[in-house]
Amino acid sequence: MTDSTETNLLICQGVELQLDDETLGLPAFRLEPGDRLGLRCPSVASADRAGSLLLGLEQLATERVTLFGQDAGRRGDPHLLRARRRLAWAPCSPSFLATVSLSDNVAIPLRDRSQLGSAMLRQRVDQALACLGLDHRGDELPHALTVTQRYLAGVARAVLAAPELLLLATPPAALTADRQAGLERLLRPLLADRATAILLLVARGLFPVVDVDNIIDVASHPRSTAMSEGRRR
Amino acid sequence: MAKPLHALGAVGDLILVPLSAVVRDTLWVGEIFYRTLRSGRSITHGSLRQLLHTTVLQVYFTGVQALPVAGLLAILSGIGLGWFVEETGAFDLVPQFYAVLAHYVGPGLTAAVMVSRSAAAVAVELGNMKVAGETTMLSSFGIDPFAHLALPRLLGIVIGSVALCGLVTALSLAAIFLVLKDHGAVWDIDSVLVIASESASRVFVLGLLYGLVIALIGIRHGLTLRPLYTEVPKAASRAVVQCIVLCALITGLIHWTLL
Repeated sequence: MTDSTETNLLICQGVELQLDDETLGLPAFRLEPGDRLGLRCPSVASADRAGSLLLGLEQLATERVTLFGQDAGRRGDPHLLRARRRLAWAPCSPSFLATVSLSDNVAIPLRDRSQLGSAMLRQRVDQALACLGLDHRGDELPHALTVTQRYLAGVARAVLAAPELLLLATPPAALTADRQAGLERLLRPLLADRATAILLLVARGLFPVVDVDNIIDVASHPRSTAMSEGRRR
Repeated sequence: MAKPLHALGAVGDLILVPLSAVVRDTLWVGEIFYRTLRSGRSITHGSLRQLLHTTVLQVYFTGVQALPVAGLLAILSGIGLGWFVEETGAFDLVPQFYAVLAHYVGPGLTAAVMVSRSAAAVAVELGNMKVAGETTMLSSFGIDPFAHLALPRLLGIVIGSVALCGLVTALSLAAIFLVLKDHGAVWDIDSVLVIASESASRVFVLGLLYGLVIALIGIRHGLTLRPLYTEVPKAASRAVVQCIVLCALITGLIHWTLL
């Protein structure tokens, strides 16, 4: 892993997010396949913002973005959508389709990216939810879940998508030992397959769960502080 | 000098502001239509099942669930006209009444029921999804919201609209026929079938255009509102009003072109 502050170019296994200094406010870094990078963020909100910034969800409306070596263009561009199918983002407070059951919500990216039948799809989702202690909540609507359960369901949804780059945000509350063990079990296949999956953590709360190769402290970086102050103004 | 300029400015505002709003809305609807059609290319094998499932649900909501209300109104219209003919003895006007039912009353009732149900429902549903960040969530996984949300609604509403238009028109014709069937000397079933077959293409075109307009306006107002919950009811009312105006314009246009 190389770390350079000369440019603000994020390269993750062929993923290049070229954002300007003011918007990203993070040190530039390069990840090789299999690396695990932790971004230590000062708060849950900043962790979510950092993940969102890295994925370019907010900037893509105005910035030109290169993903997997292709010019992804602006929001809604087909190249961008294709590139995003290779990523997965599990934020602190994930959104779910309100009128669809939790199981169907978790299955959304997996259904889109695979050709699994309904039974196999349901089985994979049930296994992932069981890992996290949510197996009895699969048929419920998302609004019935607690904040932590929503977070865990978001992680399950992202992991099931089998991404090349997984972004995990910090949990909204301290995870119990059972939940941490479940999260480890869920992430184990991705962690074992270090050639294809990169885990980018943006929270200190997950460091006990997953070992990381390197940690970048977002709060200590001056540009990050400048950005926060500029936004407050 | 200032007063004439102010007056000129006021007149300009009266004309230009609504005109620019119409142009802006037209461009929006055009872009929504283009992006919805283009999104079909990004549909994967897995999401195709979901698209078909949502389309069938939308057909059920737009076509099947609306049938009792629209059908009842159509039957009442047919019976009312039949009784009017019986009471006044205006049997010479029966062909014209059949044409009115087939060309205007049936499609018009369909449009009214669909606008009040589907246009508002689509705008509110998509608007709430936009506000809750559900469309952003889909985008973050590389799923085009236009393919996942807009395309099945467009297809479902268009299919449901064409089917409902035909059924409602047929029900109104059947109702007036049943009332006047004892007067077979002046009007028989063959004549009704001739009228129905002549009107079929017009009813199909009207149903298709009503469906397109209602779906696109609903999608446009749902997906392009500012992400605030207070904007959702405003979007719904704007969608309903615009759909009513556009459906009236379509009826006039079809009358003018197919006269």
